[in-house]
Amino acid sequence: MEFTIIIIIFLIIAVVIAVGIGGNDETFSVIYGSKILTMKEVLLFAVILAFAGALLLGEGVAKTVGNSILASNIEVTQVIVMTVLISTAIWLILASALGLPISTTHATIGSIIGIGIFLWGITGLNWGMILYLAMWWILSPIVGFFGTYFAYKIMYKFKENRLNGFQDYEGYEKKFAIIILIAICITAFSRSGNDCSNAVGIVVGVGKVDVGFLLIITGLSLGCGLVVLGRVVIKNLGEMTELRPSTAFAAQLPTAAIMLIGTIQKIPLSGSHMLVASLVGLAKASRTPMKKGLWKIILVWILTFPVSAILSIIIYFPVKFFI
Amino acid sequence: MKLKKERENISQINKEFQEEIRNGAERLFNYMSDFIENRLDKVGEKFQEIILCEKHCDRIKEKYIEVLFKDKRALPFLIEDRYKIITSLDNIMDMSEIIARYIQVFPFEFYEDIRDEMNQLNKLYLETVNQLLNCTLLMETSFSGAYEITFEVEKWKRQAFDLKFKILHIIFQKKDEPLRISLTWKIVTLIFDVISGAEEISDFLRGLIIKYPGK
Repeated sequence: MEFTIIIIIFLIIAVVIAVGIGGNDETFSVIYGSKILTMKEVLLFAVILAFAGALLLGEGVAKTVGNSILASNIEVTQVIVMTVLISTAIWLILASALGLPISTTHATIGSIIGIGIFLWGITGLNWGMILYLAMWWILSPIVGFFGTYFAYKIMYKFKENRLNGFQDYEGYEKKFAIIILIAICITAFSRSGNDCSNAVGIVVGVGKVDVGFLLIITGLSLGCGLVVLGRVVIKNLGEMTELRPSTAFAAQLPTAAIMLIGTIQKIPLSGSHMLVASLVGLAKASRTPMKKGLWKIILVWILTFPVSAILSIIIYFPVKFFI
Repeated sequence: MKLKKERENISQINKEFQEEIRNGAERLFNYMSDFIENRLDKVGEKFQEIILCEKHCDRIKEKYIEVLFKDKRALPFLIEDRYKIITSLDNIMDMSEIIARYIQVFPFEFYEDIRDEMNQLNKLYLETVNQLLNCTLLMETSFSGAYEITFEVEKWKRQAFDLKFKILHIIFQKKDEPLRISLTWKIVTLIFDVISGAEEISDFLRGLIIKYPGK
């Protein structure tokens, strides 16, 4: 196949992947849920930050997930990387269209496991690493749940003892609104830089394409995904329980802390899972009712592994045929 | 800067609204005093003042609600609570207007033997409304102060309750014109309803104060 055509196909795939990732970006959901910004403002902020993050931080970020999940004697080829990315993108777009937040990390690892078992059998996978990751995936939402629960209780005591009158509460919540907005903006900026590698990695690997141009395309695609599909995910997650700037902060704090630990320990964790667990923790602590869609979200989480695994096996054949 | 200006604006309108209700309550108190003392020649002029006061309250309330809902950066739960408070206070003024209209529609000579009790009830009305207004103002800056006042309002409602039945006990034993008895009974009940309404608002405020740390 002609080299230019391959580049164009890769570019299209990169765009699809970026749209999928942008569409399932729930970073701003607490900002929307606590009514700090309206949906239009949220999308404006999210798109600008996604674009800026992709452009300024995207270069040089590389994914090494595949190497640790597959057995050490297996070589990760471009066909495998592409298969994994396309199947992840399809599942992300499907979930985003349904307005359900899923984990990009889980979808990616599910695809790797699927293709790994299909091509090399059970011995093709590094089971020790998978079990280690599984332990973290179970532990992190539990920590998110209890972290938020106790953060809320501490805040409750503070408010009860220190705040006196509507104006005090107004000032208190306004301070938290600024703090959480800054924190979320930084998260969105760095997250898009990181997510960018999922999309452009394959094209960069082919070479001969200007990286700056690629990052602009990815940034725009992340933005498109956010505007077209992301708004539903942001709305659904933001409205899962009643949020105020201070309680949104209580929910976001454990998520950010565990994500930081995960990054330092090089463990791919799911921000979406932890955020949902934190929101459930918040609802329990504040005794506010949860939105009914929780079970649907959990079901889609459980389905993420088998679906992305099956998708990767199906997609493997056309990808192999073209490359 | 804009935010500070908006907040100043809303608290200014709130003070204006509260001042107008205070005026209205005081006018109804004077109007009722004249009625109880059978100074019926004076009630006509005062009646018009009460009606004007109520209309003015409605206009200020509309202005307040407009500013309240226009502020997109305001916290939703605060908008909701401030809205509930202002509409309940407006109800108090509406109920006061009804009392004035009731007397105006058929002025009659008031019973002398229940004058003291009626004057006490009238005084309780004015004090309860004034304290309720103080309570709502304190909700902005001091929950603890507002919390204390809610118990005073409750105490006064109980006193009004006793007075109401004391008056009813006297008038129901009269073998007088039924219309006079019926109108007296209605006016006593209406005044008590305003006091009772004020107590319900203060109960709501107390609940709000308890719930607030959880918000």
